[in-house]
Amino acid sequence: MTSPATGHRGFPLLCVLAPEDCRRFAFEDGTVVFNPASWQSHLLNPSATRIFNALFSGPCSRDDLARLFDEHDAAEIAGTVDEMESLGLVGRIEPSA
Amino acid sequence: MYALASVTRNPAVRLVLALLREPERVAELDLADWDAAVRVARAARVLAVIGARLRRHGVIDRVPEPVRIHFDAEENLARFQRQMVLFELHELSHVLGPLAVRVVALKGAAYVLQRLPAAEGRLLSDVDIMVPRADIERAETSLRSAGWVPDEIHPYDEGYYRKWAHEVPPLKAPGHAFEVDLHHTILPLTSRLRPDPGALFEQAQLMAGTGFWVLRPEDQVLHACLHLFHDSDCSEKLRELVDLEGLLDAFNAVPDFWPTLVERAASHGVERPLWYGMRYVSKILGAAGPTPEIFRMRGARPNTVVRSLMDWFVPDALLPHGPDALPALRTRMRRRVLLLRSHWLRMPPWLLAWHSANKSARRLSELWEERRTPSAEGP
Amino acid sequence: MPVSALQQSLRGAGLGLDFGLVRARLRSDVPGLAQKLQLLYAHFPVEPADGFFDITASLQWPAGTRRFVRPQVEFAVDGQLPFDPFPSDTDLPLLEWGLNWCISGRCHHVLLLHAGVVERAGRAILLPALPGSGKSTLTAALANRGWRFLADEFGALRLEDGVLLPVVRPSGLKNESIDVIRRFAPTAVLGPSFPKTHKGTVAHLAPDAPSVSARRQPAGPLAVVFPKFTPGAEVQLSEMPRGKAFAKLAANSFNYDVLGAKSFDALGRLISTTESYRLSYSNLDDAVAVLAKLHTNLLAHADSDNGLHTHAL
Repeated sequence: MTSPATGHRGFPLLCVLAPEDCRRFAFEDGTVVFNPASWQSHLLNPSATRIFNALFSGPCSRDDLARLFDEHDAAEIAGTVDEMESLGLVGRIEPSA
Repeated sequence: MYALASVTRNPAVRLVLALLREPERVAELDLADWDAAVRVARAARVLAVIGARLRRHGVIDRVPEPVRIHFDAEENLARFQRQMVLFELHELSHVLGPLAVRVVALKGAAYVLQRLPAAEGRLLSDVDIMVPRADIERAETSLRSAGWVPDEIHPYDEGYYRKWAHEVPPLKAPGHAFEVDLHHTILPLTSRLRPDPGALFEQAQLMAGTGFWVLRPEDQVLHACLHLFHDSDCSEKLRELVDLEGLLDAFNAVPDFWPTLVERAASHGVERPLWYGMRYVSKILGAAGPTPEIFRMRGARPNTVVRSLMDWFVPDALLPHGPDALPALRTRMRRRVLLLRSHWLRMPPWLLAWHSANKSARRLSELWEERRTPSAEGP
Repeated sequence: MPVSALQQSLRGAGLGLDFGLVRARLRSDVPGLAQKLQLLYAHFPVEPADGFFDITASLQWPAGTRRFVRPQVEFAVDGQLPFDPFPSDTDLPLLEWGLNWCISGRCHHVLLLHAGVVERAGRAILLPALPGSGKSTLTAALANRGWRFLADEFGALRLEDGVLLPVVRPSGLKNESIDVIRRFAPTAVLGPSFPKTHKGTVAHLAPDAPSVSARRQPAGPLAVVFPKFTPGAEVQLSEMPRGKAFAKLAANSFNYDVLGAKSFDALGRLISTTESYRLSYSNLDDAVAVLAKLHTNLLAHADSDNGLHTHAL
C-alpha cells in the first residue's frame, strides 16, 4: 500500500501550508481559515472544507481528493483546489522517493 | 538635558529624543509629558520605534496604562506592516524568481529581511527593490503580466520617472497592502553624485532561503545617508535618521566596518552625504558609533560656511514640530532651501527649470478641479 | 457647562471629552461651534484639559484667507490636516467625522467592527453597518426604547476577553432618518440639520444621560443582528449561517486586516458564542419589538454568567 507521502505515480502532492500555524473555526455553512502568510481569512464552502480537512491530516494527491467526492464533481474539485492554491492555503510538496 | 538644547528648544521634541536615546528614563515622564510626546512621535512615525526600544529595555510596564494602549496599538500596526512586506516579497519572488535576475531589497524591506532590530516598530509605506538596469524592463513586464498595476499618475510624471529617475512608477497588485517601487540604482540618473550600481550589485549579499539580496552593510549605511542628505530636503525625516542609527548599531560589530565604510564612500564618491549622516546621527540622536576617522575623510568635510548653515538648517528641518503648531515660517524657509538643494543635486539646471514649470502649471489646474471627496465614512 | 465657558475652553487649553474607548481634547476658534457641542454633549462631564488624551484635534480656520468669501473650516490633528477643508456651514459634520476617523485609524488595540451596539440586562446586540441597513436609525430607535446605547459606529471588541467597549458619541443620521427618529422619539435631542454635505442632509443625535454615564462599562455580546431596511416589508427575523456572519463582519471592520490572527481569533470567538440573524424591516416599532423578544429568549438560554468570561478555542 502506498504511504500517503508517495502519492500516485510521483505527482506533486498537495498539503496545507503551515498546518501548525493553521487557525480555523468550523461553522454550519463552512470553515473560516486564517492564512498566516497573507493574513487574509477565507470562508471555505462545504466541499472546500472537506478538501482542506483531508489535506490537514496529511498530504494527498489530486486523485486521493477526487475519491472523496462523486465523479461529476471532479471539475469543481479541481477548480477549488486551484483556487486554494492561488490563495496560498495549500501548496505542493514533492513526494519522498 | 545634554546637548539636546542645541538641536531643538521644543519640549515635546526633546522628550521624544530623550525616549529614543535613553528609554530607561521613561519613569520621569508625567501624563502631560506623555501627551505631548506621543502626539509628536506618532506624527513623526517613530511612536512604534520608541515602543520597541522600551520593550527591549524591559521598561514598557512603567508606562502608564492610558499611554500603554497607544504603544500596543502601534505595535500591532507595525507587525501588520512587517508581515505585509514579507508577504509582498514572497509574492514577488514567485514572479521575479524565474527571471534569474539579482533582486536587491532596499531600505525597510531589507531591514525586515535581515531581521534587524531597526526593523522593529518601523512603519513602512512601500517595498523597494532594485534590479540591474539591463533587466528592469523584463522585471516590470513580468510584474505587470502577473497583475501588478501602476498607481494612477500624471503622464508627465511617468515620463520623468522612467527617463530620469531611478525607478519605474510604483506598481501594486490588487488586494495587496503595499506598492512595489522597482529601481535600478539608488540615486536618480541625473544626480551629481553617481554611486556605482555595478559595485552595489556585485557586493550584495544573498539572504538565504528568500531569493532576495541585500546591499552589503556599508552600502546600506551609505544608501541611508544619501537618501537623507542628498536625495531629500530633510523635511520631517527623524524616522530616517533613526533608521541610520539602527543600521550603525546593527553593523558596528561587522569586522572592519568603519574603515570599509570610508573606503566604499570614496569609491562611490559619496563622502559628503556620509559625513552629514554621521554628523547628525551623533548630534541629534547621540549615536556613539561614528569614529573620528569618518570625520577626517578627505574631501568630505564641508567648508565652515556650509557646515554652519547645515548645522543651522538641518535639525530644524529634520525634526518634527508640534504637537500642534504647523512649522514656523523660518522652518518652512529652511526646508525650502534644503529642497532646492536636493533638487539641485538631483537634476541639472535645465531639467530643474522644466520640471518646476510643469509642476506649477499642474498645481494651477488642480485648483480648478472638484474637491477630493474623503475616503473614510462620511458623517 | 454654559456656552461661554465651553467657548473659552475651546479657544484655550481645549475641551476634554471622554467617549469611553477614547478621550478627546477639542480646540476650535470657529464661532457657533460651542453651542452645537453643548447640545450634543450636554450629558458629558467636562474633563480638565491637562493630562493625557488619546486624540487632540481642532476645527479651525485655514491659515490665510477664506474667512469671508465662501469661508471654509479644516480639521487638524497633531499638526496634520487629513482632509480637504469643508465649507464653514458644515463645521459640525466635519468635526464629528474627523473624530471618528481618528478613532478608526489609531485604536488598533481592539478589533473595531463597523456596527451599532446596544445593551439590555448586561448583554449586547451588535448591529453591523452594511450599506442600506439603516443601522444608525435602528440603533437610535433602540436607544430611545430603553436600551443602553454603547455606540453608533464602532463595535469595539476587546481582544483579551471578547467584551464590547462603549464608544459613546453622537450618531450621524442622514436624510429621511432624521424625521423618522424625530417622530419615533420626540424627546430625543437632535442637533441642527446640515443639508449640503456630500452624503445629503445630516443631523446628529445626542447620546442620552444614562448611556453617557455608563460609557466605561463593557457588555458581553449576546447576538449579532444584520439589519436590512426594506421599504414596505413585514418584519422578519431569520438565522444567518455563522460562516457568512463571520465573513460579513470581517469585511465590515475598520481594522480586521491589521490585527491578523488576533482579530481572526476574536471574531471567531464572537461568532461561536453568539447567534447571528438577519432582520428585514420597514417599521421601526416592529423591529424594536422583535429584537426585544429575541434578546429575552436568548438571555433565558444564555450562560448564567453575564457572558464576560472567555471560551477556550
